[in-house]
Amino acid sequence: MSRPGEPDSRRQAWTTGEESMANFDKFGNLSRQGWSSGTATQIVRAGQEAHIGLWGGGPGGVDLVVKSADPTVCVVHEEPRPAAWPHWRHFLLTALRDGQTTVDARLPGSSNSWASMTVQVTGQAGVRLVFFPGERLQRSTTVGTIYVIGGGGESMTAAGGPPTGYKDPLQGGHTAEPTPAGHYVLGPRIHVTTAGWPYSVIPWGAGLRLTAAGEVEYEKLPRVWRRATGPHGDVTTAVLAFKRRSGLHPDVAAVTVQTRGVFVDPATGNLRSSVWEKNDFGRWGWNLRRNGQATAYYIHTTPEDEHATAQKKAVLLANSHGCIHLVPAERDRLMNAGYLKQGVPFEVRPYSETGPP
Amino acid sequence: MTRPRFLLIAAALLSLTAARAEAAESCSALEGRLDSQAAGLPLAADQSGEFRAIGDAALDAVKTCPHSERLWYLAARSAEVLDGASGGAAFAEGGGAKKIARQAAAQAPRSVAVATILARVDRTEQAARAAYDLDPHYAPARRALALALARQGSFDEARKLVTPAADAPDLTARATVLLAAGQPAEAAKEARKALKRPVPDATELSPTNEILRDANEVLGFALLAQGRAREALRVLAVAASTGSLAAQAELAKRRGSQPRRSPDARRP
Repeated sequence: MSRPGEPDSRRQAWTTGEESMANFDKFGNLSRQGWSSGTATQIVRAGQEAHIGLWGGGPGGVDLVVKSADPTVCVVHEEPRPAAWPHWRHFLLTALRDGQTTVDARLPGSSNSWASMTVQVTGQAGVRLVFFPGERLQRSTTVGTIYVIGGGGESMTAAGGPPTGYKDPLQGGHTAEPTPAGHYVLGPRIHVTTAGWPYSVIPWGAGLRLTAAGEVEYEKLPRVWRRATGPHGDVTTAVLAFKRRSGLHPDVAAVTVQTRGVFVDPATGNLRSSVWEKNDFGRWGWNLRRNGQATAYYIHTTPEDEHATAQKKAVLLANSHGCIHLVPAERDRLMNAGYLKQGVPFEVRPYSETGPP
Repeated sequence: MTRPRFLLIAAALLSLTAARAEAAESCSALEGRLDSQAAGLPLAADQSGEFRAIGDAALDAVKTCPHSERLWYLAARSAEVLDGASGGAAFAEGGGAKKIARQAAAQAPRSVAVATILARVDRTEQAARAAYDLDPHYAPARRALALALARQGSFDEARKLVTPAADAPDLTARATVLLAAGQPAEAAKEARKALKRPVPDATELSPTNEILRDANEVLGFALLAQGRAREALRVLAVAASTGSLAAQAELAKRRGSQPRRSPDARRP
């Protein structure tokens, strides 16, 4: 066999479609540490990563599907194709827990392996979470997965911001942007509030009540009530500011009526609900803290996904404005298992790392 | 007729009238509640979630208020908006956008708003013309007809329907017609004008980023048609991020055929 990366006659034959073959190996300056070419085995410590190349493809040069047989041990993501190394594809192996698995390259829709390698994960790692936001397109949403490293191989589906940022001029000056790659630490679990989004002024689950004057109050803290509606209510004020940031010139009286309509049924004069469940950050949120400082990014659910879960309907994740959207039931599962909690390291990987299929 | 029998009939009629009034009142209350929720749509961070909530509630409401044009509109429009975004999953229980739009049109045959939704999801000239004929002054119906005509190559008639184009929805429709007519440079010009103030038509319940999605999509394909691939892909990436399925498909196709340059090839 020729040295990796150097074409020989067999490899040239593949490019003309006369023959189809593939093999895992290292190309370029991918680290060979822990790699045995003879046995096609990569040894990697739990919590660490390794890079591997796949040379070749299926008949006619069709792309093979590369997948870990046991994704609780190790997951595989594809890096952007290396322009300098034709016919090579570049994969990232992320070791989640100790164990062994094969990684196979198969024809799409087939169970026949065209190339196979073994990954041995050794040792233990402290618990941390790693999020690959660009894994796949699910309908029109770019969806990824949060993997638990140092646990039992758990994972949960999540959606970050859109892969390309944009500014929607009618959304109160907010931008929608990719969740920035990097290393964070989870902040405490909180009911997120912000005046930047009018529905998030009030914490999720806060009690609501009508005053004698017919205005709505919300329980900001236990036994601390604040006015939500009326010309100077917190929500009215947030709506006015939101509209002004959207380049509009809102009429205070009209906004006051509109805001009241969010809480009170005009036909009956009664509260639509005695509990606030429209906060944009859902029931719980954890800030992604960086260098000891809070950032603008949270991991959280959405109100509609909370409601869909409560009604046993399908959850349809949507891309966020930069935060990370979770599926409520999966949030609960990882929260109860002790992985979603303050102090847990959280890594966001680049959107360019795609798969697994 | 005997006196007791007359009284019984009168009582029954009164009771029926009261029940009808009560139903009408509750339908009006339902419409008010959903209109109030719809008015708050731009304030929500997750607009697709809001559309789902409005659509689900409207579909529930039409069971008790089958003659409410407004509720049918909200149900059909929500299903239409989420159809692409959710791949039909959001309203699968209701039969999907096309079925809901057809039911809505059957229940509210004089509603130009509902007929326009049906025209857009059906994508036929016949449905678009039926909507337009209900009210030629309803701008979404006029645009739906222009796009249907452009799809089948009747470019002159299509162009007339979106000329002059002043607001972003008309400019976007005009750009789409021009691109279909093989005039990508003119299409790009109109799309860029739309993107200067990308505000959707207030007559329809729309996601606030609808024009960003549609105008970037047509601009991207117009640039591609002019051979300006690099610029086109940047624009299509924005369209894809705002939910354009056509832009997503184009980007995926190009990713498959054109390897992306990777700085990672030289690490670790």
